[in-house]
Amino acid sequence: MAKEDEFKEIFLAEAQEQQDELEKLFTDLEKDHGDKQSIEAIFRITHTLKANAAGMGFEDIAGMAHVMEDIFSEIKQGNIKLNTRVFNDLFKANDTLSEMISVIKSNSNKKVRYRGLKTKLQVMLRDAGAHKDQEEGVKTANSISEKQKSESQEEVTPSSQENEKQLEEKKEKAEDALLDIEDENIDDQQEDVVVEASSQIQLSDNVSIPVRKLDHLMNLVGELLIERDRVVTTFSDENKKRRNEFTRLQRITSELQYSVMDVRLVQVAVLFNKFHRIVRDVATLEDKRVNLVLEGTENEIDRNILQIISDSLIHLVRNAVSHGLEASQERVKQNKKEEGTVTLRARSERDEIIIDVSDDGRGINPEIIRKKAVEKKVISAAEAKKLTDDDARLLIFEAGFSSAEKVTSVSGRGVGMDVVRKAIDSIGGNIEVSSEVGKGTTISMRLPSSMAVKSALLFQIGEANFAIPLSYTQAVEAVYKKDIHRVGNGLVIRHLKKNKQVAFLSDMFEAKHFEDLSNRKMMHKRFKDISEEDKIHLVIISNNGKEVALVVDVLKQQKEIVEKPLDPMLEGVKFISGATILGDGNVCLVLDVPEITQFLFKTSK
Amino acid sequence: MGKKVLVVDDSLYMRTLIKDALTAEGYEVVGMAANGESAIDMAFDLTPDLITLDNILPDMLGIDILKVLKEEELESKVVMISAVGQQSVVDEGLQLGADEYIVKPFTTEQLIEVINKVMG
Repeated sequence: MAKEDEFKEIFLAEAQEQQDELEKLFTDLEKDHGDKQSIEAIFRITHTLKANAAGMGFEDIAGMAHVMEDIFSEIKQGNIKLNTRVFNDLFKANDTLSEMISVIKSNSNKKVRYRGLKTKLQVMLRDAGAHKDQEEGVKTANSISEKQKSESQEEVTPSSQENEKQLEEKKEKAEDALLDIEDENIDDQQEDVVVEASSQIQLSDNVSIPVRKLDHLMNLVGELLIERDRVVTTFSDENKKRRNEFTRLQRITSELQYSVMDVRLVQVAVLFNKFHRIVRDVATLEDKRVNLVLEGTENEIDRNILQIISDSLIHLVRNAVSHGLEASQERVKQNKKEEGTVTLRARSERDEIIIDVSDDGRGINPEIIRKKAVEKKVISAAEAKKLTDDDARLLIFEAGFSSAEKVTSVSGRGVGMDVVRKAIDSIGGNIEVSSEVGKGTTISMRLPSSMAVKSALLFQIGEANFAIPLSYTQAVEAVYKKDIHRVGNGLVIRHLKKNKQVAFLSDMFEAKHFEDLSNRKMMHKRFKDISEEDKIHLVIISNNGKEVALVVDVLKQQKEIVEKPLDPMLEGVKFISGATILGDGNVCLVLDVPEITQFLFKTSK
Repeated sequence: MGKKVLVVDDSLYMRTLIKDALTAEGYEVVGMAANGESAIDMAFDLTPDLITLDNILPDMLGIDILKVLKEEELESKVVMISAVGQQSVVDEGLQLGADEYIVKPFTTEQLIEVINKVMG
């Protein structure tokens, strides 16, 4: 990559961080207008951003950051009083920065409109009595600092070659020099304030690597592991001594794998911190008072997983504010604190990260959900009755279900919650809902902390190898024919006090046409040929409360696999999410559990 | 062996820019600090030949760092880096014993020229 591009990449990544940080600081400052540390930090960040952007030649960003910096120097001196109007403009300014950054990132020619806002901010500065608008400033300051101006000009461009660009730069710098006369005063005053400001950027944490490089590294490690397994399997049978040789190779490659996985981890804080602003916006719109609490932000998760769930999390948090929490008057009436609380919590459990979105609002009444679900034909009345309360609440994630009383601009468009579930499914996660009417709701997303390598259960159907990710497997059972019962057209087994649908994977994969499978009899053609003494191997899988028992031919071991997406040509293939290569070189298909459970539950109606 | 340089700046972008330019010129960047505290630690640990010192840092001003370095009689050369127009900072820095200064935004050529001048 060319040096220029690399600088640009670093600049953009850092600018994005700076913009995030500003967002958080604005939110903090809005809560506590006297927060000197935040004001100080905002001043410093806008200052740095201005200089970096100017260095890169991104004049729009530099200009915007400059005005923001000036405003905060006025705020520091108490010349601008903070109020909602000021904050609205500041947030907008920050949004504009964000937009400018993403336009540059995407290499598009899109023009970001910012002059209107910039002028508005400049007026704010002028009203503060300290700022003069550009032209005036040049006029009046000319006489004051003629000497200073020429001085700084000379120093800035020591090279004797004068091309057009330099001339232009000089001119701008001269103007800046004049505008920044006020800055000098600021710097003088800064010393006594700065002492209490705490350090917020830590040096060694900040190695920035483009994600695509990490993805590439991870892919290579995946291939290395597959190759290692193949080599080890091929050669270790022959000779015991060699097997010992391989243990070192195995240990080192495993360590490499975990180190690379580790490098990809980021603290959930990077995502959570963005929610101060999101909650603020929704709360303002809904006219509610909301306190956002972040917990466990130090927990780490794969960066790509965080990216995938970010939209879902936004949706859940918006929902918590607009639907979960009651209106202020209603809360007061119920002797609740007027200010509602939304908690974003991350915790780790073995290899998984669980992210909870909790509110202390009205809770989800399972009866209302059941009724709605039946009305909207998501399930039948009989099925609704059988569901436990928590399972009933999970229905909010079904397509076409929305419990919103009325549609607002924030949430409740009827789409969304099922999209949330799809996103979580796509990475092998799970959703749980717990709620108490009148007390609040917690939606928990159970996510793998790393994507590339997963534990899986291997099994065979006929000669073919398959794998089910362990995150979906609930139990493995060996049963006899007498344990399985016919119910209607289907088969059912009683397991852990619950009836579970039984499906023969071999029959499912043998179906000539996908449509044939809509007949449930097609899913257990083999059942009648099984003798009473034959053991039937079941793998019980569970996804979002839907449990199914799958019949497999031979169960094999548990193994770490590196799942690769299927070739695009095979995109239409049903029930398979990807493939991996086993140690013996054979291909092993990975079951798409969410798709299978979805399908089986649809046909069971 | 190139001359040892410590780069102090709170922005990763700036640090990278400066490091790259200096490395290409044959200098050895032995350390980079993003705040005043680590800047002071690293200055005494690494005793670089040259320190590039940004003025506005999260925990203190470059000027304050410069004061400490000079009080403790560290022999490293110091090039102050400041944003446009902060002439008073530059003046104070030079008075306190900074060897040179450069004003942001600068081109790598300008940076190298200033630093080569200081390092003679």
